Amino acid sequence: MTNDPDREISRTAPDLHREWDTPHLWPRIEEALAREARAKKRWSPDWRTLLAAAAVVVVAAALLRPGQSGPRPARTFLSEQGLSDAERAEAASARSIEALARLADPQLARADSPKAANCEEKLLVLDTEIATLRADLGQNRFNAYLRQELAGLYREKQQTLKEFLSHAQEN
Amino acid sequence: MVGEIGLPLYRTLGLGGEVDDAELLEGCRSGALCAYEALYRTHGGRKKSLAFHMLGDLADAEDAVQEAFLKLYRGIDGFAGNSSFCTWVFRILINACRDQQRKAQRQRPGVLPPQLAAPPSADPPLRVALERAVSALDERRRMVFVMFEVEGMRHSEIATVLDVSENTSRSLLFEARQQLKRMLAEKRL
Repeated sequence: MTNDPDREISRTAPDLHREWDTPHLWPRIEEALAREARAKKRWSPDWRTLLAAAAVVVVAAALLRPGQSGPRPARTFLSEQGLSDAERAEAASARSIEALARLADPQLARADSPKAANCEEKLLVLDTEIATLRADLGQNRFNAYLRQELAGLYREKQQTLKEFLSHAQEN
Repeated sequence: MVGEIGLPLYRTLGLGGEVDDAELLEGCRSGALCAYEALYRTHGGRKKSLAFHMLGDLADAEDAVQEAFLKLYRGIDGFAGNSSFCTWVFRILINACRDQQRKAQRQRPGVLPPQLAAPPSADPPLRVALERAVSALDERRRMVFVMFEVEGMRHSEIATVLDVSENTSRSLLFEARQQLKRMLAEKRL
Protein backbone atom coordinates (compact mmCIF):
# COMPACT_ATOMS: atom_id res chain seq x y z
CA MET A 1 0.00 0.00 0.00
CA THR A 2 1.12 3.52 -0.69
CA ASN A 3 0.60 6.56 1.52
CA ASP A 4 -2.93 6.82 0.24
CA PRO A 5 -4.56 3.44 0.85
CA ASP A 6 -8.04 4.78 0.03
CA ARG A 7 -6.89 5.70 -3.43
CA GLU A 8 -5.15 2.36 -3.87
CA ILE A 9 -8.29 0.51 -2.92
CA SER A 10 -10.45 2.56 -5.28
CA ARG A 11 -7.93 2.13 -8.09
CA THR A 12 -7.70 -1.65 -7.66
CA ALA A 13 -11.34 -2.41 -6.79
CA PRO A 14 -12.68 -2.32 -10.40
CA ASP A 15 -10.25 -5.18 -11.16
CA LEU A 16 -12.38 -7.37 -8.89
CA HIS A 17 -15.19 -7.28 -11.46
CA ARG A 18 -15.51 -10.84 -12.74
CA GLU A 19 -16.32 -11.71 -16.31
CA TRP A 20 -16.56 -15.23 -17.54
CA ASP A 21 -18.02 -16.79 -20.64
CA THR A 22 -21.44 -18.28 -20.19
CA PRO A 23 -22.66 -19.18 -23.68
CA HIS A 24 -25.03 -21.70 -22.07
CA LEU A 25 -26.64 -19.28 -19.60
CA TRP A 26 -28.93 -17.23 -21.82
CA PRO A 27 -30.28 -20.32 -23.66
CA ARG A 28 -30.97 -21.83 -20.22
CA ILE A 29 -32.80 -18.72 -19.04
CA GLU A 30 -34.67 -18.48 -22.35
CA GLU A 31 -35.85 -22.06 -22.03
CA ALA A 32 -36.92 -21.54 -18.40
CA LEU A 33 -38.87 -18.39 -19.35
CA ALA A 34 -40.54 -20.13 -22.25
CA ARG A 35 -41.50 -23.03 -19.97
CA GLU A 36 -42.91 -20.58 -17.46
CA ALA A 37 -44.91 -18.84 -20.19
CA ARG A 38 -46.30 -22.16 -21.48
CA ALA A 39 -47.31 -23.19 -17.96
CA LYS A 40 -48.98 -19.83 -17.40
CA LYS A 41 -50.91 -20.16 -20.62
CA ARG A 42 -51.88 -23.76 -20.04
CA TRP A 43 -53.09 -23.26 -16.47
CA SER A 44 -54.83 -19.99 -15.82
CA PRO A 45 -57.71 -20.81 -13.46
CA ASP A 46 -60.20 -18.24 -12.26
CA TRP A 47 -60.45 -17.27 -8.60
CA ARG A 48 -63.10 -19.91 -7.85
CA THR A 49 -60.80 -22.70 -8.98
CA LEU A 50 -57.95 -21.24 -6.94
CA LEU A 51 -60.18 -20.96 -3.89
CA ALA A 52 -61.30 -24.57 -4.29
CA ALA A 53 -57.70 -25.72 -4.68
CA ALA A 54 -56.66 -23.79 -1.57
CA ALA A 55 -59.51 -25.36 0.38
CA VAL A 56 -58.43 -28.83 -0.72
CA VAL A 57 -54.87 -28.13 0.41
CA VAL A 58 -56.02 -26.83 3.80
CA VAL A 59 -58.30 -29.84 4.38
CA ALA A 60 -55.61 -32.28 3.26
CA ALA A 61 -53.06 -30.65 5.56
CA ALA A 62 -55.49 -30.82 8.49
CA LEU A 63 -56.23 -34.50 7.81
CA LEU A 64 -52.63 -35.52 7.38
CA ARG A 65 -51.15 -33.66 10.32
CA PRO A 66 -52.11 -36.02 13.20
CA GLY A 67 -50.60 -39.07 11.56
CA GLN A 68 -47.55 -37.38 10.22
CA SER A 69 -44.24 -38.57 11.50
CA GLY A 70 -41.50 -36.29 10.33
CA PRO A 71 -37.81 -36.96 10.41
CA ARG A 72 -36.29 -37.49 13.82
CA PRO A 73 -35.18 -34.27 15.39
CA ALA A 74 -31.53 -33.58 14.85
CA ARG A 75 -29.44 -30.60 15.77
CA THR A 76 -30.72 -28.52 12.82
CA PHE A 77 -34.28 -29.85 13.01
CA LEU A 78 -37.08 -28.89 15.32
CA SER A 79 -38.63 -31.24 17.85
CA GLU A 80 -42.39 -31.92 17.63
CA GLN A 81 -42.90 -29.41 20.41
CA GLY A 82 -40.61 -26.88 18.69
CA LEU A 83 -42.49 -27.29 15.43
CA SER A 84 -45.81 -26.81 17.12
CA ASP A 85 -44.53 -23.63 18.86
CA ALA A 86 -43.09 -22.32 15.61
CA GLU A 87 -46.33 -22.97 13.72
CA ARG A 88 -48.32 -21.20 16.44
CA ALA A 89 -45.99 -18.20 16.26
CA GLU A 90 -46.21 -18.18 12.45
CA ALA A 91 -50.00 -18.29 12.59
CA ALA A 92 -49.98 -15.34 15.03
CA SER A 93 -47.64 -13.41 12.74
CA ALA A 94 -49.81 -14.18 9.73
CA ARG A 95 -52.91 -12.93 11.58
CA SER A 96 -51.14 -9.75 12.61
CA ILE A 97 -49.93 -9.19 9.04
CA GLU A 98 -53.44 -9.78 7.74
CA ALA A 99 -54.81 -7.15 10.12
CA LEU A 100 -52.11 -4.67 9.14
CA ALA A 101 -52.62 -5.41 5.44
CA ARG A 102 -56.37 -4.77 5.79
CA LEU A 103 -55.50 -1.26 7.01
CA ALA A 104 -52.67 -0.65 4.58
CA ASP A 105 -54.05 -2.09 1.34
CA PRO A 106 -56.71 0.56 0.63
CA GLN A 107 -54.21 3.32 1.43
CA LEU A 108 -51.57 1.70 -0.75
CA ALA A 109 -54.05 1.48 -3.60
CA ARG A 110 -54.85 5.19 -3.26
CA ALA A 111 -51.35 6.52 -2.58
CA ASP A 112 -49.11 7.57 -5.43
CA SER A 113 -46.04 8.67 -3.46
CA PRO A 114 -42.61 7.14 -4.08
CA LYS A 115 -42.72 5.81 -0.50
CA ALA A 116 -45.95 3.92 -1.25
CA ALA A 117 -44.55 2.59 -4.53
CA ASN A 118 -41.40 1.47 -2.79
CA CYS A 119 -43.43 -0.18 -0.06
CA GLU A 120 -45.62 -1.97 -2.60
CA GLU A 121 -42.60 -3.30 -4.45
CA LYS A 122 -40.95 -4.41 -1.25
CA LEU A 123 -44.12 -6.23 -0.19
CA LEU A 124 -44.24 -7.93 -3.56
CA VAL A 125 -40.68 -9.17 -3.17
CA LEU A 126 -41.37 -10.27 0.42
CA ASP A 127 -44.51 -12.14 -0.64
CA THR A 128 -42.57 -13.97 -3.33
CA GLU A 129 -39.89 -14.87 -0.80
CA ILE A 130 -42.46 -16.01 1.75
CA ALA A 131 -44.21 -18.17 -0.86
CA THR A 132 -40.90 -19.76 -1.89
CA LEU A 133 -39.94 -20.47 1.71
CA ARG A 134 -43.35 -21.89 2.53
CA ALA A 135 -43.06 -24.19 -0.46
CA ASP A 136 -39.61 -25.31 0.77
CA LEU A 137 -41.04 -25.85 4.23
CA GLY A 138 -43.79 -27.98 2.74
CA GLN A 139 -41.04 -30.45 1.88
CA ASN A 140 -39.23 -30.11 5.19
CA ARG A 141 -41.46 -28.89 8.00
CA PHE A 142 -38.93 -29.52 10.75
CA ASN A 143 -36.11 -27.51 9.24
CA ALA A 144 -35.18 -25.01 11.94
CA TYR A 145 -33.19 -22.81 9.60
CA LEU A 146 -36.05 -22.35 7.14
CA ARG A 147 -38.48 -21.66 10.00
CA GLN A 148 -36.14 -19.00 11.32
CA GLU A 149 -35.86 -17.44 7.87
CA LEU A 150 -39.64 -17.43 7.49
CA ALA A 151 -40.05 -15.78 10.89
CA GLY A 152 -37.56 -13.12 9.76
CA LEU A 153 -39.53 -12.45 6.58
CA TYR A 154 -42.78 -12.20 8.53
CA ARG A 155 -41.11 -9.70 10.87
CA GLU A 156 -39.87 -7.69 7.91
CA LYS A 157 -43.31 -7.66 6.32
CA GLN A 158 -44.92 -6.56 9.61
CA GLN A 159 -42.32 -3.83 9.98
CA THR A 160 -42.82 -2.66 6.38
CA LEU A 161 -46.58 -2.43 6.82
CA LYS A 162 -46.22 -0.64 10.17
CA GLU A 163 -43.77 1.85 8.70
CA PHE A 164 -46.08 2.54 5.78
CA LEU A 165 -49.09 3.02 8.06
CA SER A 166 -47.23 5.40 10.36
CA HIS A 167 -45.94 7.30 7.33
CA ALA A 168 -49.50 7.50 5.95
CA GLN A 169 -50.76 8.80 9.31
CA GLU A 170 -48.09 11.47 9.44
CA ASN A 171 -49.14 12.71 6.02
CA MET B 1 -46.56 -15.15 -24.91
CA VAL B 2 -42.83 -15.14 -24.53
CA GLY B 3 -40.96 -15.07 -27.77
CA GLU B 4 -43.92 -14.33 -29.95
CA ILE B 5 -43.98 -10.59 -29.63
CA GLY B 6 -41.21 -9.17 -31.72
CA LEU B 7 -39.47 -5.96 -30.75
CA PRO B 8 -36.88 -5.47 -33.49
CA LEU B 9 -35.00 -2.83 -31.50
CA TYR B 10 -33.89 -5.42 -28.97
CA ARG B 11 -32.99 -7.94 -31.61
CA THR B 12 -30.50 -5.61 -33.26
CA LEU B 13 -28.66 -4.86 -30.04
CA GLY B 14 -25.21 -6.25 -29.57
CA LEU B 15 -23.43 -6.90 -26.30
CA GLY B 16 -23.37 -3.85 -24.09
CA GLY B 17 -25.94 -2.01 -26.20
CA GLU B 18 -27.68 0.71 -24.28
CA VAL B 19 -31.40 0.31 -23.93
CA ASP B 20 -33.71 2.68 -22.16
CA ASP B 21 -35.09 1.41 -18.83
CA ALA B 22 -38.64 2.29 -19.84
CA GLU B 23 -38.35 0.39 -23.12
CA LEU B 24 -37.00 -2.66 -21.33
CA LEU B 25 -39.80 -2.49 -18.78
CA GLU B 26 -42.43 -2.18 -21.47
CA GLY B 27 -40.94 -5.10 -23.39
CA CYS B 28 -40.66 -7.29 -20.30
CA ARG B 29 -44.23 -6.44 -19.30
CA SER B 30 -45.47 -7.52 -22.71
CA GLY B 31 -43.68 -10.84 -22.20
CA ALA B 32 -41.34 -10.31 -25.13
CA LEU B 33 -38.44 -12.71 -24.81
CA CYS B 34 -36.21 -10.36 -26.78
CA ALA B 35 -36.69 -7.70 -24.07
CA TYR B 36 -35.49 -10.16 -21.44
CA GLU B 37 -32.56 -10.97 -23.69
CA ALA B 38 -31.74 -7.27 -24.03
CA LEU B 39 -31.85 -7.00 -20.25
CA TYR B 40 -29.48 -9.94 -20.01
CA ARG B 41 -27.10 -8.46 -22.58
CA THR B 42 -27.16 -5.04 -20.89
CA HIS B 43 -26.87 -6.02 -17.24
CA GLY B 44 -25.93 -9.73 -17.29
CA GLY B 45 -22.22 -9.09 -16.74
CA ARG B 46 -22.76 -6.97 -13.64
CA LYS B 47 -25.41 -9.36 -12.39
CA LYS B 48 -23.10 -12.35 -12.69
CA SER B 49 -20.20 -10.51 -11.04
CA LEU B 50 -22.38 -9.31 -8.18
CA ALA B 51 -23.87 -12.77 -7.65
CA PHE B 52 -20.39 -14.27 -7.71
CA HIS B 53 -19.18 -11.86 -5.01
CA MET B 54 -22.23 -12.68 -2.93
CA LEU B 55 -22.15 -16.45 -3.36
CA GLY B 56 -18.48 -17.15 -4.05
CA ASP B 57 -19.27 -19.81 -6.63
CA LEU B 58 -19.66 -19.57 -10.40
CA ALA B 59 -22.37 -22.17 -10.78
CA ASP B 60 -24.37 -20.72 -7.88
CA ALA B 61 -24.01 -17.24 -9.37
CA GLU B 62 -25.37 -18.44 -12.72
CA ASP B 63 -28.26 -20.23 -11.01
CA ALA B 64 -29.07 -17.06 -9.08
CA VAL B 65 -29.08 -14.98 -12.27
CA GLN B 66 -31.42 -17.48 -13.92
CA GLU B 67 -33.70 -17.52 -10.88
CA ALA B 68 -33.74 -13.72 -10.83
CA PHE B 69 -35.04 -13.69 -14.42
CA LEU B 70 -37.81 -16.10 -13.49
CA LYS B 71 -38.75 -14.03 -10.44
CA LEU B 72 -38.76 -10.95 -12.62
CA TYR B 73 -41.02 -12.62 -15.16
CA ARG B 74 -43.43 -13.76 -12.44
CA GLY B 75 -43.48 -10.43 -10.61
CA ILE B 76 -43.32 -7.93 -13.45
CA ASP B 77 -47.02 -7.11 -13.26
CA GLY B 78 -46.58 -5.98 -9.66
CA PHE B 79 -43.85 -3.50 -10.47
CA ALA B 80 -45.34 -0.02 -10.03
CA GLY B 81 -42.70 1.63 -12.18
CA ASN B 82 -42.14 4.56 -9.84
CA SER B 83 -38.64 3.48 -8.92
CA SER B 84 -35.93 2.54 -11.40
CA PHE B 85 -36.60 -0.72 -13.21
CA CYS B 86 -32.89 -1.48 -13.33
CA THR B 87 -32.40 -1.17 -9.57
CA TRP B 88 -35.51 -3.26 -8.98
CA VAL B 89 -33.99 -5.94 -11.18
CA PHE B 90 -30.84 -5.88 -9.03
CA ARG B 91 -32.92 -6.09 -5.89
CA ILE B 92 -34.56 -9.23 -7.24
CA LEU B 93 -31.10 -10.61 -7.97
CA ILE B 94 -29.98 -10.03 -4.38
CA ASN B 95 -33.06 -11.91 -3.18
CA ALA B 96 -32.38 -14.73 -5.62
CA CYS B 97 -28.84 -14.92 -4.22
CA ARG B 98 -30.25 -15.13 -0.71
CA ASP B 99 -32.53 -17.97 -1.83
CA GLN B 100 -29.54 -19.69 -3.32
CA GLN B 101 -27.64 -19.35 -0.04
CA ARG B 102 -30.66 -20.65 1.83
CA LYS B 103 -31.02 -23.65 -0.42
CA ALA B 104 -27.42 -24.58 0.04
CA GLN B 105 -27.64 -23.73 3.75
CA ARG B 106 -24.00 -23.16 3.86
CA GLN B 107 -21.73 -20.51 5.18
CA ARG B 108 -19.81 -18.60 2.61
CA PRO B 109 -16.13 -19.53 2.72
CA GLY B 110 -13.77 -16.86 4.00
CA VAL B 111 -11.78 -16.84 0.78
CA LEU B 112 -13.12 -16.96 -2.76
CA PRO B 113 -12.37 -20.30 -4.38
CA PRO B 114 -9.86 -20.00 -7.20
CA GLN B 115 -12.31 -20.82 -9.98
CA LEU B 116 -11.49 -17.97 -12.30
CA ALA B 117 -8.33 -16.80 -13.88
CA ALA B 118 -7.47 -13.48 -12.30
CA PRO B 119 -8.38 -10.52 -14.48
CA PRO B 120 -5.51 -8.27 -15.56
CA SER B 121 -4.55 -5.74 -12.95
CA ALA B 122 -2.02 -2.92 -12.58
CA ASP B 123 -1.02 -4.31 -9.19
CA PRO B 124 -1.71 -8.07 -9.10
CA PRO B 125 -0.52 -8.66 -5.49
CA LEU B 126 -2.74 -5.86 -4.23
CA ARG B 127 -5.66 -7.16 -6.30
CA VAL B 128 -5.30 -10.64 -4.76
CA ALA B 129 -4.96 -9.23 -1.23
CA LEU B 130 -7.93 -6.92 -1.77
CA GLU B 131 -10.09 -9.73 -3.14
CA ARG B 132 -9.34 -11.87 -0.09
CA ALA B 133 -10.04 -8.99 2.25
CA VAL B 134 -13.33 -8.16 0.49
CA SER B 135 -14.47 -11.76 0.72
CA ALA B 136 -13.84 -11.63 4.48
CA LEU B 137 -16.17 -8.64 4.98
CA ASP B 138 -19.65 -9.28 6.31
CA GLU B 139 -22.31 -9.52 3.63
CA ARG B 140 -23.78 -6.01 3.86
CA ARG B 141 -20.45 -4.22 3.79
CA ARG B 142 -19.16 -6.54 1.08
CA MET B 143 -22.19 -5.94 -1.13
CA VAL B 144 -22.06 -2.16 -0.73
CA PHE B 145 -18.33 -2.15 -1.46
CA VAL B 146 -18.72 -4.39 -4.52
CA MET B 147 -21.68 -2.44 -5.89
CA PHE B 148 -20.01 0.94 -5.42
CA GLU B 149 -16.32 0.35 -6.01
CA VAL B 150 -16.35 -2.69 -8.29
CA GLU B 151 -19.56 -2.32 -10.28
CA GLY B 152 -19.75 1.47 -10.22
CA MET B 153 -23.28 1.82 -8.87
CA ARG B 154 -24.43 5.03 -7.17
CA HIS B 155 -25.43 5.22 -3.51
CA SER B 156 -29.00 6.02 -4.54
CA GLU B 157 -29.12 2.77 -6.56
CA ILE B 158 -27.45 0.71 -3.84
CA ALA B 159 -29.90 2.10 -1.30
CA THR B 160 -32.84 0.90 -3.40
CA VAL B 161 -31.32 -2.48 -4.13
CA LEU B 162 -30.49 -3.21 -0.49
CA ASP B 163 -33.51 -1.37 0.88
CA VAL B 164 -31.46 0.91 3.10
CA SER B 165 -31.09 4.69 3.17
CA GLU B 166 -28.40 6.41 1.15
CA ASN B 167 -26.72 7.42 4.40
CA THR B 168 -26.60 3.81 5.51
CA SER B 169 -25.07 2.88 2.18
CA ARG B 170 -22.40 5.57 2.67
CA SER B 171 -21.72 4.43 6.24
CA LEU B 172 -21.41 0.82 5.20
CA LEU B 173 -18.97 1.79 2.45
CA PHE B 174 -16.93 3.83 4.92
CA GLU B 175 -16.84 0.94 7.39
CA ALA B 176 -15.93 -1.51 4.64
CA ARG B 177 -13.02 0.70 3.57
CA GLN B 178 -11.78 1.07 7.14
CA GLN B 179 -11.88 -2.69 7.62
CA LEU B 180 -10.18 -3.32 4.30
CA LYS B 181 -7.41 -0.85 5.10
CA ARG B 182 -6.84 -2.57 8.46
CA MET B 183 -6.79 -6.02 6.87
CA LEU B 184 -4.44 -4.95 4.08
CA ALA B 185 -2.12 -3.20 6.53
CA GLU B 186 -1.99 -6.31 8.75
CA LYS B 187 -1.07 -8.35 5.71
CA ARG B 188 1.85 -6.07 5.01
CA LEU B 189 3.27 -6.27 8.55
